[in-house]
Formats: sequence, C-alpha cells, structure tokens
Amino acid sequence: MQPGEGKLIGAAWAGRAFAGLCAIAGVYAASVSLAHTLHGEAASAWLLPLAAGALTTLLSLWVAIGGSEATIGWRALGHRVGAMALLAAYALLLLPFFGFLTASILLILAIAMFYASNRLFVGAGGLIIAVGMWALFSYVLAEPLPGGLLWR
Amino acid sequence: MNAAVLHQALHLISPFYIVAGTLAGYLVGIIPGLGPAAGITLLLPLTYYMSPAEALIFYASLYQSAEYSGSITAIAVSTPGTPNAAATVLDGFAMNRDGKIGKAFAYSLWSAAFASLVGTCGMLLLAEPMARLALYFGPSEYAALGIFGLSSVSILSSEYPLRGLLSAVLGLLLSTVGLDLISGTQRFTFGIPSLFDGLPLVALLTGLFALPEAVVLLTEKQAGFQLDSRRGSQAVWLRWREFAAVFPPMLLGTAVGFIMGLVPGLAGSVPPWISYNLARLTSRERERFGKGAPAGIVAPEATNAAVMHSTLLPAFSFGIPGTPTSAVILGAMMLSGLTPGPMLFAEHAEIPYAVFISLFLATVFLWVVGLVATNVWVRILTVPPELLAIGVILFVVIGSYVARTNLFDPQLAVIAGIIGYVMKKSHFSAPALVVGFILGPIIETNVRRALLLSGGTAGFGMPGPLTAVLLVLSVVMLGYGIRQNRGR
Repeated sequence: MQPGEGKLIGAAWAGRAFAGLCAIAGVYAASVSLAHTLHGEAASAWLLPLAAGALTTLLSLWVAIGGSEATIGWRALGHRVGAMALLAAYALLLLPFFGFLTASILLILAIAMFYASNRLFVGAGGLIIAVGMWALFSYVLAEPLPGGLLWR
Repeated sequence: MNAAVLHQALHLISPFYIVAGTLAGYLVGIIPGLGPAAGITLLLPLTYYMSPAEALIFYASLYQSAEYSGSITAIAVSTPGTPNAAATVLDGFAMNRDGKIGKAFAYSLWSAAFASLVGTCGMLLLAEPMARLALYFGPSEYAALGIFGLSSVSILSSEYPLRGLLSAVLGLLLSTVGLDLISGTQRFTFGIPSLFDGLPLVALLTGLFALPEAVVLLTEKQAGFQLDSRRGSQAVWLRWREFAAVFPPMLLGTAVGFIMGLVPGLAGSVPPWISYNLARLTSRERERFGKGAPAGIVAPEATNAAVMHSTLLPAFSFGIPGTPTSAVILGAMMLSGLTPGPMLFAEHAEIPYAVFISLFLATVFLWVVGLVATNVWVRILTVPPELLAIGVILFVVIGSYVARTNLFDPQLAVIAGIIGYVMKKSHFSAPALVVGFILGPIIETNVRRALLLSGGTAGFGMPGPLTAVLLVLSVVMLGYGIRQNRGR
C-alpha cells in the first residue's frame, strides 16, 4: 500500500457488477428474442441474439460467482471514477450544450486542474491541440465539429 | 498473381500513405498502452478520406511499425510500448544499462526489418492459395471457422479465459443490434434511428480501445518517463559479424512468429516468449540471457514482426481475424466497402497485392527511420501523459463524430470507453469483444445460409469433415479455457 492510499478495498465488486450487468443484458436479449420468435417473426433473425443472450447470461453468472483478487486504494479509486465522470460529463452534457470547442476547453481546464502535474504546460498544450483540431476540421477539411445548443 | 494484377497493384501503391502509416505507427507503438489496435482505431475515420487501397496501405504500414516501435520503449525505459514487446525488456533494457542502448535498438530494428521482409514474402506466396482454399468452404465451414476463431481468440488472448469468452459473446450480442439485413426486422434498436444501422463501428472501436488508455494515462502515470541522458545518442548500427552472429535466433523467431500468427488466437504476447525461450535453449550462451544477450532481443522482435504479417493472411484470405488488430483492419476494409475473404482476391486482387508490396517499401522506410531517428523518437516519452490523454480524447470525439456527423456517436464512444476501462480493470477483454463484434455478422450470415441450404440443420446435423473438425477444436478450446479458469 502506498502512503496516503487509504484503506485497500477489494475490487472484486467491479468484475461482479460488470458481470451482473451483462447477465441482465443477456436475460433481456434472450427473452426479447424468444418472445419475437414465439410471436411468429422470422425465427432465423432472432437465432443469434437468442443464443448469444443465453450464453451471456450463463457465463455472466459463472463469472459473477467467482471474483477478482485485484485491490485498489480509495484515493486511486476516486481518482479513476472522477476521470470517467469527467469524460461522461464532457460527452453527455458539455458537448450537446456548448459545442466541441467550448466543451473541450472546459475539459482541458478540468484535466489540467485535477490531473496534471505540470498544470500550465498541460493546460496550454491541450488548448493548442483543441483549437488546432477545431480549426483544421472546421476550416481546412470543411467538416464542422458539433455545435452546442447554447453557443457554437 | 498475374502480370495484369501486378501492373494494377503497382499503380495503387502510394508512397505518401506508406510514409504516413509508418510514422504514425512509430508514434503509437512508442507510447505505452496505445499500440497498433488503438492507433488504427484512432485513425479509422481517416478511411473516409482515402481510397480502399490507400486506407489498407496506411493501416498495414502503421501496424508493422507499431509492432516494432514498442521495443524502443522496452529498451529505453524498461516498459514495453506494446504488450508484445514485454520479452524484449529483459535483454534490451539490460543492454541499455550496460551503456549499449544503440546496439540494443539496432538488434531490435534489424531483426524486425528482416522478419518483416520474410513475412511479406510469405504473404505474397500464401495469400492467393489460401484464398483459393477458402473458396472450398461452404457456409457451415465458414460459420464453424468463425466459431473456432472466436473461441480461440477469446480463450487464448485473455489472462482470464472465462471473462475473455464472456466478452466475445457480448460482442456477438452487440453485433445483432440494428436492422436485420435479410428480414428487415429491427433488433434492440429501442426506436433510436442512430441504431438502425447497428452500433457504429468507429465509435465502438475508438471508445473500447483508445479511451481506456486515455484514462490510464490520466490516472496512473503522473509524470513522463525520465530518460538517461548521460549515454547521449548512439549509432543504431550492426556490423556484418554482429548480424551474422544473431542470424540463427532471428530466423528461428521469424519461423515461430509466422507459423503461430496463422492460427487465430495464437498471435499476441505468447509467441515472443516462446521464441525467447527457444532461443535461450538453443544458445551456447544461455547464462547471458536476461543480462543483455543479443539473441534475447532479436528472437522475440523477429517473432513480433513475423506474427504481424501472418495474422493478416487469414484476415485477407478468409475474412477471419486472428488478433484484435487484424479485426480492426477488417473493420477498415468494411468501412471502405470491401468484403474480406476469397471474393476480395476474385474481384479486387490488386488491392491485397498492393498492400503486400507496400509492406516491402514500408519495411525499408521503417529501417531507415529507425537508423536515423530512433534517438529522436525516444524523446516522445518525455511528453506529459496528461497531454497525450487530451490528444487521445479529442481524437476519439472528433473521429467518431465525423464518421456520420452525428453527436450520438461520440457519446456512444465515451460510454464504450468507460465500459472498456471497467473491463480492462476487472480482467475482461475488450479486444475479444471487438473480435466477437466483427465476427458476429460473418457467423450469423453463414449459419443462416447453411440453414437455408440444409433444410434446417445448418449442416451441423450431419456436418462435413472440416466443419466437424473445427467444431471439435472449438469445444476443445472451450474445455481448455474452463480448465484454465479454475481458481479465478
């Protein structure tokens, strides 16, 4: 355990949670496929989804019963969950509302603030990359990048 | 290959894409974690701006140089740039510590170039016979080959075989999303128009392969690598005697790699270790292995290069990918409107041959760039990983957006990236998922064709000998996976 890492926790839950989600998806796919087949739709169209859904359920349950010996500290866990939350917020909230350029600038500022050891260098470098890509696609390749609902 | 095809193939060769692909491959191979699959997926949207031949030349050149350049990181900082370069760390970094980093780079570069030339010759010789062999495959054989490829890739390429298998089956399931092309039935679209054409390939691939690496770069490496500047720049050159001394292990590594790459699932990080051990066992200086033995660098590096070439053979000839990277290249082929498999050689034989001949030129360019610029490439490792992560994230978002100019795609890519990261950290296999996603339509179409032809048994009621052998091999593979999985 590294100093400051906090209490180590089992990460088996991550694998089990993922396997559990896969099991739910598998049950859903298999039951929908079965229902469509029983209601007289082309059976061959639902053959692979039915088989894959059933196999997914079976394997997921098998995996969920087992576990993983991986461990991770609370602080590192928070760091990683934070990075994923940042990405999710960028794609699902910032991009639709603010458009590519503004959303990317906000993301870069957040990364520089919370994740970079050399904030100024990473922030400035990131901004150059974002503006450069935006200009390249918008003006050189004539492929406008996503605009936002609030402003482009 | 006849003269007319050769003539057409030579016309399709594009030096620009050979150079661009090789340089891009150097870049993605050196950065630990990215590798050829993530590199190609990041650049997959460029397919829309290229002709099919240009796209394949670009990605094949990228794949070749990324497989090599992973060794630069392994030698310079003891961290393999790609998982396949792990065996090179042992003797490559030991040689670096002895103050002979230039020689270590040279052994790696020359063996990769040699094996690439041999591998390309193998591709030229075997591609068409293999494609002709594929023509004898009926739908049930094809479906069985797909099932075998899927089971072997998922079981053998994952540390946790059952999780690899689950990932592959999940990929199969995801491949069924969208309108069924035969019956027109909507499957799992939830009424979302963006899903009618299925899950977008570019968004799924970039999300699963590249974004998890961006999260790793952000959260697990807090500073760029420190390079040992005391050694300065050393010439990346081998004298004739030095080359001749390592020729036997180089040949051995090339043979091991080329043969193992032909079998779906066997390529990956295992073949370099096998050739490393074989080189050690057959060496007169076994005690030097692990302490900077040249043979300990050339054998695994030759294997990596040869594997790369032979994994493309079943992908081009049969349309069956043996590795995640060849699955991504198959994806690029589909995006270009090409159908991988025997019909590619029947209808557009000039394209695969243009790619193979380009790989010769790409090997020469790879070697020249390695000679003059390896010491410069190493400097990339000093770039802060957070900056690389920002570049990867923006590339993923832009790449997945421009593919269909649909905001749904980058959002899906990010969701796929989060799922990919969770999979990576809990020992599931995103590459197996991608192979399942690519193979799904191939397996499904052929099973349904076989069903139509056989009146409902799909040929599996009384299978032909080849179908039976492939299905038995698949079952053996699954049994092996379950056995290996005990205690995990």
